[in-house]
Amino acid sequence: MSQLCTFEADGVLFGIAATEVQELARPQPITRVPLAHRAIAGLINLRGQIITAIDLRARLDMPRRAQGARAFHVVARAADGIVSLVVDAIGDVIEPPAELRDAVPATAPAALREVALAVYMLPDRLLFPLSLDRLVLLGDRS
Amino acid sequence: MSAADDDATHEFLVESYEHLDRIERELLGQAPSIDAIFRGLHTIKGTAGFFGYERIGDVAHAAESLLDKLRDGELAFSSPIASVLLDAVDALRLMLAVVEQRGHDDAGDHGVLLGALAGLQQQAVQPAPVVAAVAPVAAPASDTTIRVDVELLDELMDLAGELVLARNQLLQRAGSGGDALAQTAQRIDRITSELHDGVMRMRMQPIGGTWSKLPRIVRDLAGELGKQVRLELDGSDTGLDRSIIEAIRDPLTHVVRNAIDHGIEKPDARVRAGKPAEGVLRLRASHEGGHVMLEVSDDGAGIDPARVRAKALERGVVGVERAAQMTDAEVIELVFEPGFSTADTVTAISGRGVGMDVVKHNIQAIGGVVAIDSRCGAGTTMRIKLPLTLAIVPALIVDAAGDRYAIAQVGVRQLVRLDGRLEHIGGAPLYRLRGELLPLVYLDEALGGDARTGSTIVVLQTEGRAFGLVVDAVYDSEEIVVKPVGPRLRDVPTYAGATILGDGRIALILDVRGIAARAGIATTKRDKQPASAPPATPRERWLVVEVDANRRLAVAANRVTRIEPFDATAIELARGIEVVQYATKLLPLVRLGTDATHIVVCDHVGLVTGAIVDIFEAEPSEHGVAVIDGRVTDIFDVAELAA
Repeated sequence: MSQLCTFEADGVLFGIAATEVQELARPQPITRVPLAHRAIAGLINLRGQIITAIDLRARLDMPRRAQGARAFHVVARAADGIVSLVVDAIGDVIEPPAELRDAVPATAPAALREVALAVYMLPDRLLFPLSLDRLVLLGDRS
Repeated sequence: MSAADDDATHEFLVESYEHLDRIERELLGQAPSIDAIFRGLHTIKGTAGFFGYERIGDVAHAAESLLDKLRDGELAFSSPIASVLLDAVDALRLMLAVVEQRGHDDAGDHGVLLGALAGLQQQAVQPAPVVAAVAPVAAPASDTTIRVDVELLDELMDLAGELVLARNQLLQRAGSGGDALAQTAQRIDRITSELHDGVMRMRMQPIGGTWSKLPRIVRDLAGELGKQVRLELDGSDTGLDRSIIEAIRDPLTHVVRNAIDHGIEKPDARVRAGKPAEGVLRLRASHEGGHVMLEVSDDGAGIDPARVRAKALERGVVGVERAAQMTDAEVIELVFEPGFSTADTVTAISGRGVGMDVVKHNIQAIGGVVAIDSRCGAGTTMRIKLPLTLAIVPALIVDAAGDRYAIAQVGVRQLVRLDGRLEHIGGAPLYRLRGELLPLVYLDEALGGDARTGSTIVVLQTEGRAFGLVVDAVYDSEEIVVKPVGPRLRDVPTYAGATILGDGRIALILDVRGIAARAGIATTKRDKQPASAPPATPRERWLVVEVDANRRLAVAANRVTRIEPFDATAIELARGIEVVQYATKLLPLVRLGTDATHIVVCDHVGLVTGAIVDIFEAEPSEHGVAVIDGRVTDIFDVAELAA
């Protein structure tokens, strides 16, 4: 893995391979989908294309975003189609040095361990590279 | 092989297949045009020779020689000749398929076929009347048509869909004022509609395309089963979108096979029933108000509701209680239930218990509706209503709890304002609509919300049942472009897709069946349907039970509300009478005999019985007895007991 496109949710820094990212989008009107998996924020209209948005906070069992808080979209190409990850903020594209890479600690929350590939100990904070394909695989936890 | 060769071979294959299809149609038609068949074979022979496919050339040549004799009037066209020519068509198809896959035509030994073709030529026959000396003159289609890649058409269709969406947005922004922008927008509106129409028509194919294989299937199948079947096709030029044609091909074939296998009787049975020995299978297609109606009817034995009922009980498709409440029309619809088959013997053709449910499922999957109408002894008619296209559908846009949803117009029967006429039965809201009790579903509630609000009832029809969907508001009807919801939402049964509305926002398209199933409508109330045929004499339905060894009693089925297993430990004594607790009430028990395995709940009494035999139809009784299932059976009068 070389370059990571980074983003934040609940103060934690995450990243997915930059090659998987199609584009980044500003806050969008989201059409909610009742009865869908709880990690699904809804559907967005990206220039005529209907894309399922997955809320990263919900996906990782994090506290909900405050009412009215802005949310951004990381539009990415998963194996079975394009999805949007709803995040709090979008960071830089970085290439973390391999020597800072370590395994995800066993004490990390289960939802995070399920999707995180590793952890990078950046000088000032931690960065979790995520597996997009695992991220979009939603279990039965509706 | 060079690319040019490849293309040429491809062209040869496509053309040859088309010729063979046409030849087959001719051979199976009423008055085959020998000239047309000859020309087709001649072309195949010529092109095959050019490519060096000798075996194809040999078979085509032998068939052509036989046709030569027919053309010259030396031979008369006959059924054996048609059969051998059809065999030749099959052999040619097989070889073409081998060419397609392996690039050579070395497939099988055609010695027998060649022998048969040659043999028939030897038969001396008196000069026959000229069968088709003059082929109908029609302008060669090649002058006015071109071949277009299907992929390109699909792309065009997608683009037209996008354009419709953009047009909708443009219209909303431009408003309806008289300024230049609004006028241009209106022009674009008109052009878009016409363009979309044009692209749709381009993708339309006559339904006859899917029917072309049927004459052969019918002929082969009827021959195999020793039946005589005449196939009548009506409206084969009715146009349908490609996608739909594809989707109905298999279900249609299955329905036709079923009609021949189970519907049309053997000639002797038909004659005994006073019908002509030859059965008629009729397919009719027509456009009807933005839909295509497809009818498959036969004049066969029809479906016997009593047999279906018995079979459904035996297979556990319905419970005894439910079976007792169903009308004959409802019972016949049971053939669409999974795991149902009434064939007494499982044949190779159908009757394996897979089939009609799959047919129904496939038709519904493309937004179609299928209904069955059958008269015992007189035949069965299957009516299939199909949308013209899958891509763009007229839809009603509604609002529930601030969210907008689209409902395909095909399922919408009417809109009704929700006023005071609400009733509740066990917490379930019902609405009186012209003497019919309409179960209501609050959309927001059905979608997991908690609001039972709404001002408008959208009366929907699904699987023969009607129900009212209560929404907060109904907006316009809009032409929507159906888009898939993606893999992560595909499992949510309440949506059929999504669309982008005029203002750019997304609306989910409701799956009416999914909503009904989720709200539990599917099993509560059936819509009133006109009975398929009024029975000649009023017959009553009886639940027959065993009470002692070999002694049977019949109870009027319409009085039975429930059947439960008998549990001796649950019996209590109240003032000397045996009772069981049933739905918080005490139910007095009446023992009908010594057997005690079931409790049949009638009115407010529980009848203790032995085995449940079945439900039968019989003439109303006299003197408390009826002949049921060939046995004289005592009638147990529940009303008398209550009195």
